[in-house]
Formats: sequence, C-alpha cells, structure tokens
Amino acid sequence: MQAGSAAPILVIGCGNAIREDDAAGLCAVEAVEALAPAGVQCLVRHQLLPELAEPISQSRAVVFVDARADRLDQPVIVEPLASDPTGAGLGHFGGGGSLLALAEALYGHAPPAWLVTIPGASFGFNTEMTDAGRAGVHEAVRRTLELLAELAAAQP
Amino acid sequence: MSQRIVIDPVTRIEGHAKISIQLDDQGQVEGARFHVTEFRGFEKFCLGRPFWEMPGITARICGICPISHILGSAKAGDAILAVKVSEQANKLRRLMNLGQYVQSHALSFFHLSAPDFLLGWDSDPASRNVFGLIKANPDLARKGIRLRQFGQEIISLLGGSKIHPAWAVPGGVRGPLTTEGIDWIKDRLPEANETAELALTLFKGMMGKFKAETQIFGNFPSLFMSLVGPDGEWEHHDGGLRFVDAAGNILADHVAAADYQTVIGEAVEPWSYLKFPYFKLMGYPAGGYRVGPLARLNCAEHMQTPRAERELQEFKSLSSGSVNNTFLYHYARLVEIIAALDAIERLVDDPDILSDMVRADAGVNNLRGVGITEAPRGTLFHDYTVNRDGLLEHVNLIVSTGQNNLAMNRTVEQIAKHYVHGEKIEEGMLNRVEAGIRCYDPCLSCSTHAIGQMPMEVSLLAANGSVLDTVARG
Amino acid sequence: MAVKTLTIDGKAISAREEQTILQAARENGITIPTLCQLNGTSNIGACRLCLVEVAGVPKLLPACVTLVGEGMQVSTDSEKIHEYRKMIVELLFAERNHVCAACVENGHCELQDLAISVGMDHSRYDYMNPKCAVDITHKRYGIDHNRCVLCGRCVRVCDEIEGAHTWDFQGRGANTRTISDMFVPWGQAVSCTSCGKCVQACPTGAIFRRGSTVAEMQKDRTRLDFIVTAREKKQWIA
Repeated sequence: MQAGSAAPILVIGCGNAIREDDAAGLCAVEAVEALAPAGVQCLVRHQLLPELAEPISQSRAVVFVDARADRLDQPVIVEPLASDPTGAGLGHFGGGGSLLALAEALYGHAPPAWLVTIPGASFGFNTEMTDAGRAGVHEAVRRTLELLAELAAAQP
Repeated sequence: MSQRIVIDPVTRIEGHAKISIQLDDQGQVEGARFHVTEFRGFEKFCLGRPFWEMPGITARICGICPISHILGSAKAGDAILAVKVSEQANKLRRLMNLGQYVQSHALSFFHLSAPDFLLGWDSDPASRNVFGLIKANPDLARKGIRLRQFGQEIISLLGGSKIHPAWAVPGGVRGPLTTEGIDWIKDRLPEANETAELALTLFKGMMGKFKAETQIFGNFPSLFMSLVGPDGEWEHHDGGLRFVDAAGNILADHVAAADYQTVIGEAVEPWSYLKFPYFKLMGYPAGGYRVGPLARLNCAEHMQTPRAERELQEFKSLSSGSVNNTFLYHYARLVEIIAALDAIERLVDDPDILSDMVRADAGVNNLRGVGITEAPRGTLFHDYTVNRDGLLEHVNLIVSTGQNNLAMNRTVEQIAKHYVHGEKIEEGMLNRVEAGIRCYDPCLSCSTHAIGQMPMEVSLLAANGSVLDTVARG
Repeated sequence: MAVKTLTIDGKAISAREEQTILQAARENGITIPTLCQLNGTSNIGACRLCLVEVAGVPKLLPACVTLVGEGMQVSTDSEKIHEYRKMIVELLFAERNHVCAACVENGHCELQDLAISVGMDHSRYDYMNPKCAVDITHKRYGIDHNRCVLCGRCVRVCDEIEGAHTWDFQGRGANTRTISDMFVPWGQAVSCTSCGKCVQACPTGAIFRRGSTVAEMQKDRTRLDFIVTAREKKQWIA
C-alpha cells in the first residue's frame, strides 16, 4: 500500500521535557507545529514506541526531530533516515529506523524519512534547556521548515 | 581485588546497560554486576513544588511506565490529603493500571522476548528480533501488536491522548469513562482474550524445550515481595505488602504503605548510584528480594476469576514453594495478562466507572504520604514529605529495577558460570545474558528517552581487575 | 461627544474622542495583541505588546493608552511591529522560569498563545533563571512567581474591582515581585477576601486554584466582565 498524495507529512519530535537539552526535539516540533504548511501533522512523544508505526505507514513522508548526545562538534544535522530492521537491544524500542522497518513489515509501507538531530550540551534534571540547546532548537526549526517546504512542493 | 567500575556521564546518557563479569584467581566466574542508571537527581528536582503537580511531573520520568508513576504519585497525594478516594475513582484508577499491564506485558512478550523463544538463542542477533518474528510468524506478531494497542487505548480512553495523562490526581481522578469507551473495550475484548490465550498456550507448549534456560537463567532461592489483597489475592494497585521466601512461607503480610520502612531498608553500594532495597529482618544483602510478575504470583494465593485462578494454580504447581526460576517471569507475565483482561471485563460491566463522583477535595492534613502501586515490572514507591502548605521537602522513590538489581546480578552470574570459558566473551553467552536480563523486563528509561534503545556492553574482568574482553551490542 | 476620524491599517474609521486606539481597533474588528490589558480595569501600558505605528510619530505607541486623534494614520501590522512583539514575548520568557510542560495553565495560557501567535520558537536572550518561590499558604489559591509576567492584572482587579488592594508590587525592574499586603505570605494577608478575581485575571499559571494539576487550570474572564457590566451599567447579563 502506498500512501497517496492526500496523506499527511508527519513530523515526530521526541525527548524528555525534564532533562535539559533532551527536550530539544519536543520544543522544536512544538514550534514547527505553529508554523508548518498545511498537510503537516506534528506529534510529540517522550519515546518512540511501536504504535507510531501505523501513522507512519499512512504518511507521505516522515521527519523525526530529536536531541543528539554524540557528534557534539557538529551543528544541527538533517539526514535521510533508512529503515533499520535490528532490535532494541535491552531497551523497549529502537529509534526512527526501527519504526520505519516496523511500518514496512506490519503495514506494508514505509515512507521516505529524514532525521533532524540537535546537539545537546547537557542532560541533567532541569526543565530549562542550555543556551546552546536553545540555539540548536531555533536552527532545527528553520531547517525542518525548509525541509517541509521542499517536501510540500514536491507533491505529485 | 575487583576493580570498581565508574560509569561516566556520557555513557549514562547513551544508555549502555553495563554488565561486568568478575573472574577469580582460577579464572572462574566469581560474580557479576548489572549497572543501572542513576535516579537521584530527580528527587532533588521536585523539591519546592506543590505535591499536586507531582503526578504530572513524575510521569515524565519514564516513557515506558508513566501510568505507574501517575498512580503512585496520586496515592501519595491521597495520603497527604488524608482522604480515601471514592470507590468509583479507585475502580477507574485500577482500570487504567490494568490497561497498562496489558500493553506493557504484551510489548515485553511479543516484541522483546518471543523472538528469543521462537527463533532460538543461537540464531543471528541481527534477525532475532521483532522483525525476524514478523517474518517467521506474521500472524502472531500482528496479534501481539493489536493486544498492546488494546491496552494503550484503554489508557487513552481514560486519560486523553496527551503524552502523559496526568489524569489520576491526589483525591481521585479527573473524570470517568464514557459509554462509547465501554463499548469500544467490550468490542475488542474477545480478540484480546484470544491472543492472550494463544500466547499462553504457545509458551506452555514450549516449556519442555526450555529446560536448560529454566534452570540456568536465574534459578536461585530469594525472597519475593508484592502487594496482595486482604484475602491474599493477586493485587496490582491496592492492598498491603507481602514478603514470601523461596519455600513460599509468608514472612511479612499486609504491611501498609505508610509502614514500608519497617520492613524495607535501602543499602548503597560504591559501584552504583542506585539504592538497594532489602527486607530488613534479614539484613543486607540476604534480604534482597525480587519484584514483578513472578513475585506477584508467588505472593498471591488466588485470583478473582475462575480462568485466572486456574492459570495461577497451574503455575504454582511448578514448585512446592515459590517458583524461583527467573525464566518463568515470562510465564507469569502471560498469566497476568489473562488476569488483567478478566478484571477489565468485570470493570466495564460496573456502572461505577461512569460516575462523576470521582474527586475528593481536601487540604494538607498529613505532612507525609506514601503511595505504593504495582507497576508491570514491580512495586513502585512514592514517598513525599511536604510542609504545611503542601510544598515538597523530601521525595523518596523506589523503582522496580532497583529492587530487582541484586537478582539481575545473580542471574547474569549464573548464566556466566555456564557459558564463560576462558578469557573471551562468546556470542552464545552474550545472547543468553541479554535474554536473562530481559526476563525482568527492566525499564531503565527513567532518565533520557535515548535509553529507550539500550545497547548492552559486557566486560570480562580478571581477578586483578584488568579488562580481559569487552563486547558491545547495539 | 466629538468624533474623530482616522485610519487603522488603511481602513477609514471613526471613533469617539475619549477612546483609545485599542478600543477603536477592536470596535472595527482589528486585532491588536495585548497582555496587561484587562477589561474593566485601568490601562497602564506595561507589557508593550499593543505597540502600534502612528504616521509622523518617530516611536511606537502603546494602543491601550493612546487616544485616537483626528487624521491619525495607525499601522498595527508591519515588520517592525512584528519584530518588537516577538522580542517582547521572548524577553518575558527569558525573565522567569516558564515550564509549560509541567504548568497548571498549559494549553489555556495567554503567554503560550502569544508565543505561538508571534511565531516564537526560542528566546534569543539569555535566560535569567531567577530563584522564585511558590506561595500556597492561601487556603484556596496559590501563586508561583516563576510564572508571573508582572502584568499587574491581579493588582488592578483586586484594587479597582474588588476594592481590597491585597496585591501590589515590590522592588524594581527584573527584581520586581508581586506581593500580598505588606509582603506577608498570601495566607496571612488579612485584606484578602478570597474572592478569586485575581485567579481569573491572571493570564498565566502564576495564580492558580490550589490543588490544580498539570494543564487543569482554565481561567474564566467572563466572570469579571459580568461584574464590571453589572457595576457600570446596572445590567446583570451573563
């Protein structure tokens, strides 16, 4: 099953709102939601869990926005995300790649996907992000909106 | 002299589950440690906030079991208000917890553990996962995911579709279920029952194949603790604490939440940030105990519905005392899905769950409140001290993974004794250590979401503390 | 009663001479964002969100306290104004500790709505992270200074509508705090009648009903409108 052109573009932000820069993905997607073009559906989640596979399979494209704890010397990175049919290790679920694989395996369709990651400076218990994290959110919002504009323009 | 492992902060964030296996002078396995992420920062973070906000705040600790934190926090709040929540509100809270049991246990069984059983521990780790399962048995995999959805949907029907439904509040809940919600649940119940029975039959049928695992994956005597009802029946939300020993003797019974510190002490270890709760009468570490599905079935004398009761007694017949095999956590989990579905079926026929008399209003009447609930993976304690206005002055949380930590160490140790030969970590051992830990369905996502995907790192240490081998698996 | 004619965003309108630009705009269906303005209480031009451009005046003027004038050309919608509004909202966020996710007002908050309407995704200013107390000594209500934007709506509603003047400000600039009576805990403020008007007036989760949990507080401003209409016009209409 292929999602039609009426299908939404999905933006999924995940992170923990009380762990400083871990909230970057959540904050970015909340801001994107207010500014996104029509046909974009935004979701924020604490963690990526398997039930997201279904809405993903029904979308035209999906963009994951998340904090990143590695490659801290690099700014916001926007990259294509491939389906990744490996397990969750000891945890409860894997990343966006796992969800794409699950959407494909269970519902027969995994849309093209992108991953926007924001470098986090600190992940302690605090409801405030660091200044670096906030700047990253700003940049991520801009880049995500650019990506969404491109995706919307490419509509068949 | 064994080496002390320091978990550096970056590693904590990336969420490696660190396991170290210590060898003695003869190169034999001496012990093992499963290093769990810290939890302390959170308790400090809440200080100064009104306790009314805690269900909403603590729900953010964990993306896997927010409902348990909401319920534990609301119960601690009830105690501070000195109110007994209405029967209606309590039934609604119970319904949400049962929904959580179904979704959480289904995720553990179908997504995380069934691939081990069905594909084999020695199959390629790259395909020994839910995707391999979907390929090998697509029908079962799909059914498992539908069962998890059923539990999730019950939670959403009650709490709304927000990320963290801070729906249970000190004094009760925010609102009842709707008739449409009841209809939806009734409509999907037969399918859920069918899937649960299928999984249970499947597991029982395979028990013969798992003789070795049942013996090796954490088969040791220990204490067990859980809540039980007034007549010693299975409980997931109310009742008092019971401790039983490996032979099934009751060591403490019906301990009220407020009195938990008369039976539970908390030890600290230099190698971990986590606290180690133990049964006080037996001291530390002898008083270490297991919590979770296995503990709940060992503590419970009976179930409240005929079908669940049959399953409980069949389970109990596996041993003359307590069932001590960690591997059988999986079995216990499936019995609990059955019990939860039966309990849900009863609740949806109860007119109380449509009542709007669900919230008691009161001021601060106690300066301390303790709330205990049975999270899917074990007993959860929220212990708050507030000032006269209700601002938090002290917070103590005891989570299930902390209580199972000593047992997890022993499980890894037992597996390592069987599978470590020489100075290298071998594939077969790694697979089994992973599966051994998974029996507990530990939730370490209490810190950042990144830990939802938890790579494992196993180190083999020589008697002098030097690292002989390290293997990481993502 | 003299009538003035002017234009707002190019639209020709007439207004009574005692009206402010904000009142005239609203009567003509032109929206200007506000925060400190509260119907039934005096206008103080504190928050600066209602700044507008008037042709021939070099600086921006607050619409809530600027009277209409003959031939005035008012603009409420320019890039400069948008930039200012956004800056003001960012500064409000940077000044205290606003944590929407855990706030009682989440989803019903005027500050949150403003942030969305001005397209704010983060604050360009350094967060001040001040240490602020929560006062829940009052039997029915609480005030969390972390969430206070110093709009003064509570101060005015208490003074001008209830007549108790329990609330006032202490200190200056960023150190300003909303205080009850002579800086005593709210529960000890003898002037407070516990009427709850300040709760309804507060635009954020700063003043809330005690016992509220996350996202549970929803203010009802129509209660205040009802009282003001009843007092001023002797009309008791809900």
